[in-house]
Amino acid sequence: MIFCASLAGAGLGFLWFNSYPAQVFMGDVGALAIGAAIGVLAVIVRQELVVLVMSGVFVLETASVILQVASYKLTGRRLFRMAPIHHHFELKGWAEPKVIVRFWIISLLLVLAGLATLKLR
Amino acid sequence: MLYWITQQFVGHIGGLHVFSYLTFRAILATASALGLSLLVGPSLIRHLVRGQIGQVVRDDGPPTHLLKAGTPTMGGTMILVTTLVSTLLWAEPANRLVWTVLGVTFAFGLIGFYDDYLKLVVRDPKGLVPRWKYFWQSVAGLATAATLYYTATEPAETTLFLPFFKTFHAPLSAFGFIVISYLMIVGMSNAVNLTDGLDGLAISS
Repeated sequence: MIFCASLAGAGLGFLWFNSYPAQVFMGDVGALAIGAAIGVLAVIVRQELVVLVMSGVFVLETASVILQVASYKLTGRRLFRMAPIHHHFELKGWAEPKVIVRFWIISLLLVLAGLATLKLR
Repeated sequence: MLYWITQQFVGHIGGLHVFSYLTFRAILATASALGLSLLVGPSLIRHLVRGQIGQVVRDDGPPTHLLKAGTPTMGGTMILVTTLVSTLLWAEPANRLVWTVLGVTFAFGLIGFYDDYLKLVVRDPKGLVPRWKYFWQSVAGLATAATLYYTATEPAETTLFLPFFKTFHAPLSAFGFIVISYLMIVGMSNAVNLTDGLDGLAISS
């Protein structure tokens, strides 16, 4: 709990500088560590499936890469203009901040949906 | 740490009991991590720029991203350090889960750091060979899963629960628990890494 709160604070502090246009990127050091933290927290609170819903943006990004590679290897055709899927929307002409904020909105909805499943039982 | 110190004086100094409340400490933890990040951020970025720790932008990516070459990376170290400091300040040191979470986070941070280090400082564009990256991720993931399973004190800590089905609970075998936990930890770690391609996307999703 305190760890989550600390990570949230650190994340907001990082976003202050990382928001578009970024002054700094997190690098693998940040991305791998944060992902592992989310994963282990999901295991500890015993809600793996709910966390997968809440982290839907990460799941979809990963699925887009897997589908793209599978489709290209099997049929020789690409499903998306580029994977991970955020590049697909950029190449369709969406401005980068627009992609980002729209993904945030999706993320927010998924988190609310995930929270709702904890009550609807 | 501050939790422990304040607990020594509860009863002697009035008002200190507020530090017993989890929500109060959580708010302070968020605030201190945020404050610390804002404080050290600018000098860290200056330092990274001077050290030329610039991101190598994928040359097959969208054309607009080529402009991003030179933006410093490894800002994740700041996230890790401020999270660590803030957790140590406000968490209850007797809680073993705090140490497990910190341990796995830093283990994966270390793998990522080594990868970034090879790419940026040693200037090896391939970075850590994927095979070795997955190997070390698997070592850390399995070790964490096993630790969680064997230090569990209640059966509920290793039981599978599903959303919507209140009555469903399946006690997991050591193998089942470790496989699920391993997939969650290593899977999420790589998923966030893939998402980390647009400014501010990964950190806020």
